[in-house]
Amino acid sequence: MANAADHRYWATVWRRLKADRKAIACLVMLVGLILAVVAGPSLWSINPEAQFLNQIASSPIGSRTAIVVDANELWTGPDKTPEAGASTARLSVIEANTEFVRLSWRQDTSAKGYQLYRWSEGMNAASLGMPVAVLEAGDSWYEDRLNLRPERYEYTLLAVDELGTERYRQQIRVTPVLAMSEFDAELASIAEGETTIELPAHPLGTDHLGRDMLARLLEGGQVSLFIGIFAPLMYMLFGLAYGATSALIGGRVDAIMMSIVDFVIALPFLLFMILFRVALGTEPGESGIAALVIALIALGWPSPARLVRGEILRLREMPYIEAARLMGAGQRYLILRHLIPNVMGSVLVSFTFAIPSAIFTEAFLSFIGMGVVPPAPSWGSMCNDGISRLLTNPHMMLFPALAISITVLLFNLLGDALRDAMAIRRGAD
Amino acid sequence: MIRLLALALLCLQTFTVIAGGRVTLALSTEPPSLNSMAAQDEYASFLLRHLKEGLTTYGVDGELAPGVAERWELEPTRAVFHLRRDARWHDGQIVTAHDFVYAWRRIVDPAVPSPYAYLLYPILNAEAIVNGEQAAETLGVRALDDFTIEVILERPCAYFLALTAYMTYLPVREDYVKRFGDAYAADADKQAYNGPFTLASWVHGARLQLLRNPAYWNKEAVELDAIDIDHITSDPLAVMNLFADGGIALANIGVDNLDLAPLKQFKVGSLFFLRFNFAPGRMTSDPDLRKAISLVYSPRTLVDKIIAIPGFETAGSIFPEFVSSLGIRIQERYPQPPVSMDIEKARAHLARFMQRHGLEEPPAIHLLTSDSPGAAKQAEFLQNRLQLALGLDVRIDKQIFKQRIAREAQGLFDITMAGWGPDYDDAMTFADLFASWNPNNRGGFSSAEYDALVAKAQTTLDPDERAALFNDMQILLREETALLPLYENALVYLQDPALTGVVRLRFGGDPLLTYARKLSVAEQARALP
Amino acid sequence: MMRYLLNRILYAIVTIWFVATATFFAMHFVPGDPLSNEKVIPEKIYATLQAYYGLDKPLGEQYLIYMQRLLQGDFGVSFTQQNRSVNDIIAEHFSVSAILGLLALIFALFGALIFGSVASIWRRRWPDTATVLGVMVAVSVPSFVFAALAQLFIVEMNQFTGWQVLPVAGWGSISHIWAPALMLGLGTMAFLTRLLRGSLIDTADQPYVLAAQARGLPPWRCFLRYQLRNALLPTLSVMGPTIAGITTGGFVVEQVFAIPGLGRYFVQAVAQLDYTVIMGTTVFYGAFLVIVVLAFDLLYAWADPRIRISRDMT
Repeated sequence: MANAADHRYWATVWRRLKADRKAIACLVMLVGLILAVVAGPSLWSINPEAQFLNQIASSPIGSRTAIVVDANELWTGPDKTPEAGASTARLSVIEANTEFVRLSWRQDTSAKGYQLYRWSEGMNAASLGMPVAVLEAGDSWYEDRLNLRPERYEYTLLAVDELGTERYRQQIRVTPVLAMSEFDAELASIAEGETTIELPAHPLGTDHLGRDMLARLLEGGQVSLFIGIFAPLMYMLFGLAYGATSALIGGRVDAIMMSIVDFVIALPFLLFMILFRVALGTEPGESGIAALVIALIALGWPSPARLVRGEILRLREMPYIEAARLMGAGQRYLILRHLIPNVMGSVLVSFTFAIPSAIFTEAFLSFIGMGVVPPAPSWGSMCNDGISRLLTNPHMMLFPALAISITVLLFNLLGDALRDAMAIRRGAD
Repeated sequence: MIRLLALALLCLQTFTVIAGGRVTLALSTEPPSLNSMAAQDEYASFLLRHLKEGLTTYGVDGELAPGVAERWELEPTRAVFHLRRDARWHDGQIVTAHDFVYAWRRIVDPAVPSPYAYLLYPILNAEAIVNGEQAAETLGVRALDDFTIEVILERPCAYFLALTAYMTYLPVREDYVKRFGDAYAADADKQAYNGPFTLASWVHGARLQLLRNPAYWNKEAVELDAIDIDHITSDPLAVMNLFADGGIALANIGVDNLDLAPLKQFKVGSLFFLRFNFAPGRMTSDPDLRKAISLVYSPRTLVDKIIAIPGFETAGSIFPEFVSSLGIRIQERYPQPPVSMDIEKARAHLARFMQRHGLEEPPAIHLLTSDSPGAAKQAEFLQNRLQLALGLDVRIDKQIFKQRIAREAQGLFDITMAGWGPDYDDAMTFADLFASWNPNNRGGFSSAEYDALVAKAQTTLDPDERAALFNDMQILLREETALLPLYENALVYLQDPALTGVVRLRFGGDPLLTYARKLSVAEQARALP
Repeated sequence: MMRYLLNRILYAIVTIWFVATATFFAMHFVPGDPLSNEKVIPEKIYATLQAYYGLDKPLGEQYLIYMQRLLQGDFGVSFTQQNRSVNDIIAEHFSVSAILGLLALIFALFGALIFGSVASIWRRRWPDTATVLGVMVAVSVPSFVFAALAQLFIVEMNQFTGWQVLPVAGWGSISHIWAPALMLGLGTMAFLTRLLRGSLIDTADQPYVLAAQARGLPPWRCFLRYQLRNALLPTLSVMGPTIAGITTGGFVVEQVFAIPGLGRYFVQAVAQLDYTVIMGTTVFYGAFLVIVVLAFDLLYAWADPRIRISRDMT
């Protein structure tokens, strides 16, 4: 290793790093990612908390127009029941929008009850779809309000006998119009009397509460990246101070301080992360980020402490330090001029690698429900929300998982490049 | 029987695959204990329903049916049960009256920890014995002879018969308890079984196997040879994948996989509601704030769009649809539709509230919720609603199980998301939830008028009069906005057409597979639409 | 050497004591009451339960009692799994985690050997590039994503072939183990591949390898006998923490695949505030970690005398 006290050392490192196109690309992308996440809310103006209840768990879509309908009161049936002997279709649609689909049919004295099913694209083609309601013999209408989407539905009404065996079936196809209830429109502060509303586009779709995924990803990125960068930064600094102190004092104090390091390292990491996270708890309205950061710091500091101590002990044996000491350089000068700058290299590299591991830890804990508290999103908790819908709405898991993976990948690549540039160890090219 | 429900939407995830006379099941959680005297969860309840039999049990239509007792005489404060002579333990020993007396006495013994001892409180002296004031022998139960049990009740108890079907009331073999001590019922071979099945093996955390019990008196009614519980998982994706993979029969599913038709519904009818904290000094003790919230909280949107599981119904009252009193369904006679939402009125109430307390801005409200994914989602929805409509600063307090209980017990909440499953088949199981003396009334709602109505209903035996009393209660609770009913839950599940005769139970032990059987291919073809 | 060994063992014991003490107090710091339940328990019944579990005593006394029991190797009785000793619970669930971990480790080692060797032999050509790329992806994707994707794949595969090639989740037979073990081992495999590739490249220009090549030994013998054997040494040095990590870090995979391992059980125990299980699991894992690391340190010292000497000196 070159004499790192030399300013030229850092210049060399920077030059080598600059020559590594891959590293620069990573750095640029990471800076871009952090900027996007930090500046996200001003770039993408949709409020991440806003719930678009008529577009729940939607795949990526463009902007659309919705009509405003009065859905406050439940329907009490059609004005006039179809005549008993009418030749019109038995099952008919009175009104269809995404707030309600109103169906009516001619009563049949032979039916002892009805079952109503709703089939939509993507369901098992052989099935009648989702059973919406089980109805009694006297019923001749039904209002379906269950999570309607502006897509093609096929309703099937089964008339059944006493044993529940099908007597006959009637089917009708309908595509509800995208709508918003007056009540929701009022909540969204839309002027009274408006009959249509422009809904914004969702380039990454929406989540299980109809929230914009892109806005949530940006906000979740703030949480994940804050935990991922701040916690390692803190424990690196603490570890640096601790390790340096230990190495420089030496003797019994060093031995005791290093024993403590060994003890803390012996704590099973993930188990204690969970235990600390739960012990620190959260108060109402708290996001749990503080608890996660504290737990990470409490368990993370020993490794850098050990690293720094080892480096300093090694450096102290170096001839040029010996020489400086013989020439009468003070302890303080030695630390500031020679030891700390030299150690910074390894610390920087291990910091770069600590970030992905902190991001992973946050994601793991949030994934098992012991991470951040809603409504604060993190990429890990978004994955947790999405995994149960992996079969039906894969985009809900895909995007946060990609965000985690790409970020971690970039930090790993940057760490590799940094390590190579500092030639601390020979590893990957 | 008495159980408060966690807000988990997927309570008991069960699904089956059938091969021969075998059914394969998955449980979402391993029962902590199969000791009927100590168990308190629904998983133990499900297993014990199949492994052991009490004085009464449930029949093919889910109705209360004779179990070990073949007949009984009921008087207001006394019951005599006549046991059948052919009831046997799996090792061939006769099930006697002493097995019941032993179990019940042991449960109330203050030296033995039994968290569910209070379920025996309808029996004479039970509470005094638990409190150490009387000896266990004074419990109001005795064996008149080997096949006759006499029970003296503390006070008239309309639902005592139904209690005898519950797991806490199951018989226990004294010799097994003596032999295994603290390890009693900790493993498959450490207790005796007198139910339709025996526990053949129990690999903790992994597997349980139930085999048909040849010693069971009613073994002709049992068609399945075995129930294999091969999976213990609460992970919805794992369950769905297992299900999709096997093309199997019975799987409880959540909102996330409704597209996997065809589905069946079972209206469980547990009530989920928002509980307010009435402690003095809490914002929610002010009726205007509660009223304001009740006019915007949108239970219908919650059910239709957020929960979005067919079969869930919005609730309008403390009494769910199915609840009845002495044969009268309360909601049929006195329907209580959910409150219509009205922002203007709500804001007026809020303004009055703020004026009264001299507030410049709407207050912060602490919303306590469990950590189940469903509950967290509902909390986020409510937070958004109250924020938009009233500007309330709702702070979600999501806590894992024991921490949430601790916070509820200490009153550290303004609103908490609560659930209540019926204890027994009578409206009183819901009504006394808001009686001031009930320790489960954790919000501390207290109304002398309401207490009087409950007390009166407890002693009223006239069906019409009693139903009217319950109606008065639901009206009073609505006027006071003592709670905000959210919904009555349902199970949505898939069932293989090859499996038939599964009985869904509301009062412990669901799903009942004792009478289940496999259809032949020809029968299946006929059953399919 | 003997003194070094004794020192290390003594140190290990103190470390385990520290783990136990830290767990005990961290756990009692968690708000909540392990005996509470949804339904309020009457006071007297509650008092009986408290006395039964010894929770009515002051914390200091509870600690002493616990330590005393621990010395005898007794972890106590579970709060939630009534009537079951924590020793039994750990034995049962750890054996699951251990089998899973062991197989994952075997996957990881074999994978690393193959991919690491291939990459170093065809250095800078496409097998190398592909390996480096694969390694980067494998260490950057969270294990729950891999696990979920694997499940999806199995579902599709089973549906496509029409018979159960592999079970989707659960535990109990050999066929249940493959997919989760592979998913669990993937991260470790990537890490080891990278390490091995690096040290293989390092050893490639060592004099003894060059000498062997100069002697005209067949390339594969050169590789196996001289290069690989020496390159494996750094791998050995990280085996301790790796084994510990793979056996304790499996709970995400255990969760997704519904495997009754100790990690998953621990998460439930924390939510239930099952004091004895929490204590038992952390102390057990702490001890396991300490012992495995110690064992591999000794093994490494034995395999590489240089280490032994330098250790003795510090």
